[in-house]
Amino acid sequence: MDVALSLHPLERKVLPFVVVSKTVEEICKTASLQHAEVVRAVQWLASKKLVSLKEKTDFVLALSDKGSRIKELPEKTISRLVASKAVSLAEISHIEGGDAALGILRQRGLIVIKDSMVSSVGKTENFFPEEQFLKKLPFSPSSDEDKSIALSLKRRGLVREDSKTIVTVLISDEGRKVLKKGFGELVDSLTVQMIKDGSWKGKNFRAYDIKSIVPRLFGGKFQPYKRFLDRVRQQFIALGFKEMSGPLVESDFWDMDALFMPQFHSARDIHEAYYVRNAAPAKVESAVMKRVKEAHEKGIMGSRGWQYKFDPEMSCRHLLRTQGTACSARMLASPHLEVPGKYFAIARCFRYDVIDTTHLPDFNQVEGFVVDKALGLKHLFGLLQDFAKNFANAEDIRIVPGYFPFTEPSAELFAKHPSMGWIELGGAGLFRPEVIGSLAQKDVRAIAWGLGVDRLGMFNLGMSDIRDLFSRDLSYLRNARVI
Amino acid sequence: MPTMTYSRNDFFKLLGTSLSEEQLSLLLCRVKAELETFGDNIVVKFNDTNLPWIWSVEGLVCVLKGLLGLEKGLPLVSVKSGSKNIIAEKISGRPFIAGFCAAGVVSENLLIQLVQLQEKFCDAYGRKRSKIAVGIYSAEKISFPVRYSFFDGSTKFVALNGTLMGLSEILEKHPKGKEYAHIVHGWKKFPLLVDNQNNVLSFPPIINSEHSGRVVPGISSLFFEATGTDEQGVMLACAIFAFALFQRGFELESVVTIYPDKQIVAPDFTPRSVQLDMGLVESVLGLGLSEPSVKGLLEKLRYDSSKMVVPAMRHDIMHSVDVVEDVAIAYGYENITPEKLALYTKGATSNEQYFGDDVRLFLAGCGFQEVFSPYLTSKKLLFDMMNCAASPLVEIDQFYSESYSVVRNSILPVLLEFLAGNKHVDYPQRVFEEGLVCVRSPEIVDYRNVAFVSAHSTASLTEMRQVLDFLFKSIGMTYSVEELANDSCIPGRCGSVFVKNHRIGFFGELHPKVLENFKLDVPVSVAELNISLLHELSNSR
Repeated sequence: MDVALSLHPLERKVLPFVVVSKTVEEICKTASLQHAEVVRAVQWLASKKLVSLKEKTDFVLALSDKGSRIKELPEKTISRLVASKAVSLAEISHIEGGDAALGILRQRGLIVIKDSMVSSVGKTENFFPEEQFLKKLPFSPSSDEDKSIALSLKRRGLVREDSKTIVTVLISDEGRKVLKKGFGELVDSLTVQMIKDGSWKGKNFRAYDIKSIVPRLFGGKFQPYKRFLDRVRQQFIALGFKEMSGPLVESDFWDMDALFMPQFHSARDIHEAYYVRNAAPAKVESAVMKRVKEAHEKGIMGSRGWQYKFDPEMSCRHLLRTQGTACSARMLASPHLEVPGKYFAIARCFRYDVIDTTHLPDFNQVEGFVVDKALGLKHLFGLLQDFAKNFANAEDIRIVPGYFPFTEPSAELFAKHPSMGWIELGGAGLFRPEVIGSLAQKDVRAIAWGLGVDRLGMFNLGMSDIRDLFSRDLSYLRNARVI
Repeated sequence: MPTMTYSRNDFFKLLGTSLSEEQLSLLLCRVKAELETFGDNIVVKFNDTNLPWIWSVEGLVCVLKGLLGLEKGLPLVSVKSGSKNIIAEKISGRPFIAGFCAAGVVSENLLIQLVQLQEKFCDAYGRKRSKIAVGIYSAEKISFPVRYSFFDGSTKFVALNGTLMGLSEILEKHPKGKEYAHIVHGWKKFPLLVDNQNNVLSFPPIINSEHSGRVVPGISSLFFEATGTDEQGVMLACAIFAFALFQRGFELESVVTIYPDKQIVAPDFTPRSVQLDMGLVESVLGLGLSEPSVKGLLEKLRYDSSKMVVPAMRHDIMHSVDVVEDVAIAYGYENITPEKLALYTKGATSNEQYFGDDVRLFLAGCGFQEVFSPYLTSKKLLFDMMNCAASPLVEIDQFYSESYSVVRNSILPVLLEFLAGNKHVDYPQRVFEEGLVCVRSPEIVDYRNVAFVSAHSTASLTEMRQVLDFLFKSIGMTYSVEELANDSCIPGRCGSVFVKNHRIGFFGELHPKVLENFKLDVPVSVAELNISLLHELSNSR
C-alpha cells in the first residue's frame, strides 16, 4: 500500500510545512491551521513514520493567585510605612505576605525590630529586584540571579510554575520521499455524482485508517436477563415441555391449599405472603374445593390428612402468587391435562422480604411437572441430572433429601460451581397422593420440580447482586453481553 | 426454617462418636438439614418444618445414631405415672393444655438448649405461639393441682422481668405482652395458669410469672406445659421436650389434664402405627428391595419394623408414601441410579408468548433498548408522578415498603422512572419493556403490555406514530387513532390507538409538568399497548 494514498487531507496540508517549521506552534502559524488540527495531523503522520516527534517540557513561571492579589511587593509597602515612623508588628501583620517581607528587609539591613516595633535604619531603598522579576512574568528564568529570585518567590507563594509541552516535529527520510514524489490526486469521498458520471475512473481513493476508534452506536437490543429467560423457555420447549401460565394474583386455594399446605402453615403469615387489600373473595370451583378440604381434614387416598378444620373462606383470600407451583396445581386440575405430559412455567412470584443482594420481593421461578402412569424416584433423579447439565452446565451434582409440603419423596439438587462450591439449583419431588387425588383425580404419578432461575441467571451473567437482574442502569444495558 | 445452635462437645458426646465437618454435613443432608457452622458450636438449619422432634439436639442425635448404625429401632422412654393434675376450664380460643414433670440436674448447657428449643418450636411450629406455646417452670415452687382458667384483665401478677401488673396492662406495656397481644386480641377474659396456692404460673401464651416461671441452672425439678389450639400439637410438644429431658437422664413423671368432659395424660410415648406398602415402595423406588431389607432400612430411622410403628414424635407420617421416603433416605439417595426419562411429548408455548416476543423483536429493530423491571411499585409513581387521577389497583395489605406496595397497572411510569435514573447517560434514549400489568375493573385481570419511550432534544409524536406504523405493518394489522385527553400528555398531542373499534393503547408527548415531576430535562414521547388484546384481535386478521 502506497503510504501517500492513506494520507488524510490534513496530513497532506501539514507535511510540506514540517520541512520549514519545527514546533507545532510554528506549523500552526505558517500553515494557518488550528492547533488541534496540526496536533492530530502530526500524530497520524508520526504513526505512519513520516515524521518523528520530540516532546520537551518547559517550565514557565506565572503569577499565582496570591501574586495577582497584591498590588505591590509587600517589602516596598513596609519600607514606605516605616520610612517616617516606627510601626507595630501587629499593624504589619495585616499586609498580605508581610511576614516574609519583614524577614527579607531585616536580612538586607534595611529595618530593625525592637519591642514589637519596626523601624527604618535610615537607608531608604526603592529598588527591589523581585519587583522587576514579577513584571517580566510569564517567562522562563535562565540567569542564576533570576533562578534564585524565582525560588524565593515560589516559596512565598507569589508565583507558580506552569509546565508546557513543546512538540518538535522532524521529517523522516520516508516523509521526504513522499513529499518529493508528490501526493497525486486522491478521492476523499465517493459521491453519487461520481458513480453516475464515472468520474471515479482512473483516480486513487484515499485509504482510511481502518483501526481508528469510531463514535459509539447504541442499537436496540434485548435485556440480558430477559434474553436468558427466553433461552430457558426455548430449552424447555426443545425438551418437550409445554408452557403453563397462571394469574399473578392468586387465591390461597391454588397457591397453597391445593398443594396440601395446611392453613396453619407459616407461609401464610401476613409477613410471608402479600395479601391483597379489599379484594372480593376468589371464586373457586366447589367440587375441587370440596376434594381439597377433605384431603386436608381427614385425608384421601389412604392419607390421614392434617386433621384440622379447613376454612373455605380463608381459601378464597387473594394474594400475590408466592410460588410458581400454583400454575402446576391449576394444570393438574385442568380438563386439558395431557397424560403423559411435561409442563413448565416461568412465573413471577412475590414474597415479603427485605431487599438485599440476594432477596427481592419480586422474583422469578421456573417450575413445572412431568406426569405419566408410572414415574418414580429414579426418573426424578434423571430429570434433575438433565436440568443440571442443560441449565447450569454442571456434571458434578448432588441430590439429597428435601422437604416440600406437596411432594413425597422430595429432593434437592446441588451442583458444584468451579469457584463457589456446592450451589443449590432447585428442588423436586413426586406430588403427594393427596395432591394428585384431589386435583388430577387420575391414577398417575407426577414429578414436580422447581429451579431457582434468578440464581442461574446471576451465574450466567456474572452478577453477585440479584437487583442487577432488573438493572436500572442504561449504560450497563447498552454495553451488556446479551448472549 | 429453624436454625439451631448446639455445643460441639455436647453434640459429639451425645452422639458417642466424632465426625469431620464433611461427614457431618453429608449426614445432616439425610435429615433435610444443612450444616451452617462447624466450630466450637455447630449451627444447623432444618428444612423440614414438619418434623420438630429432630430440632432438639437429643432428637437429632437419636436419628443420626440410627443412620450411622450405632443404634436401631424404637428409642425407649420410660415415664413414671404421676398423681399431679392440671384442671382445665373450657378456654375457648385456646382450649388445649398438657404438661409433665421431670426430675434431674438442670445444667447451664441443658437450659440453653431447652430455651432455644422452646423459642424455635413456638416460632416455627407453633406459628409464633398462636397455635402452640410452651412454658417451663421450677416445679419446686408449684403446689399442684394447677388450674387453667379465665381471669379478668384486671387480675394482677408479677410477670417475668416485670412488676406487679394487670393482664391488660401486661399486653400494653410488657415487651412480650406487646409482641404477642394480637393472639388474644378482642378477648374479654384471659387464660391464666394458677397453682393451688393461687400463685400464677403464667399467662399463656404471653408470659411466665417471676414466681415459678424463672428457671435457672442448678434446680432439680421442672414442670413443663404446652397450650394451644391443636390437641395433637400440644401433645407433640410434651413428647418432644420429655424425650429430650429423658435423654439427659431426667426422670419423667406424667401429669393428667382434667377437662370438664375428659382426661388426657402427658407425655404420651405410645408409638404411632404406620403402613408399609411394599407395592408402593417398589413402584416409587424401583430398587427391587425385599421386605426384610426394607424393614432393616426403616429400623435405621428408628421404626419398630416388626410392629410397623414409629416414635410418638413422628407426626409427619400421614401416608404410606412418607414411609417410602424414609426407606429411600435410609438406603441413601446417593445409591440410587438416575434413569433418563424416555417420554415423548411435544413442547410448546402460548401464541400470545410468541406474539409478545415478536413485538419485542420489532421494537429492538427500531433501536429501542429493552428493560426488565419488578412488577411491584407505588401509587405515587403510577398516579402522582404521572399527573393523573388514581384508579383501582391491586394493593398489598401489609407491605414492607411503600415503594413496593402495589402491582403496576401500566408499564410507562416504570420506564419514566428508569429514564429519570439515567440522565447522565448519552441521549437519545429509547427504551421499551414488555411484561405483565394487573388491572382491577373491578375483577383482577393480568394483561401483557408493551410500553416504549423516546427521550431526546427533538423527541416528538411523529416518532411514536412511525414506530406504531412499522409495528402494525410488521404484525399485519391496521390501526386508527383518535384524539385523547390525557393529563400526562400535552393537550392535542395525545391519541388512543384503536384496532377494530377496540381501544388497545395510547401514545403522546409527555406534558412538561410530568417531565418536571421526574426531573427530566428533555422532551419524551411515549406509547403503551395492550398486547393481550392486540393478540386476541390478531387472531381474526
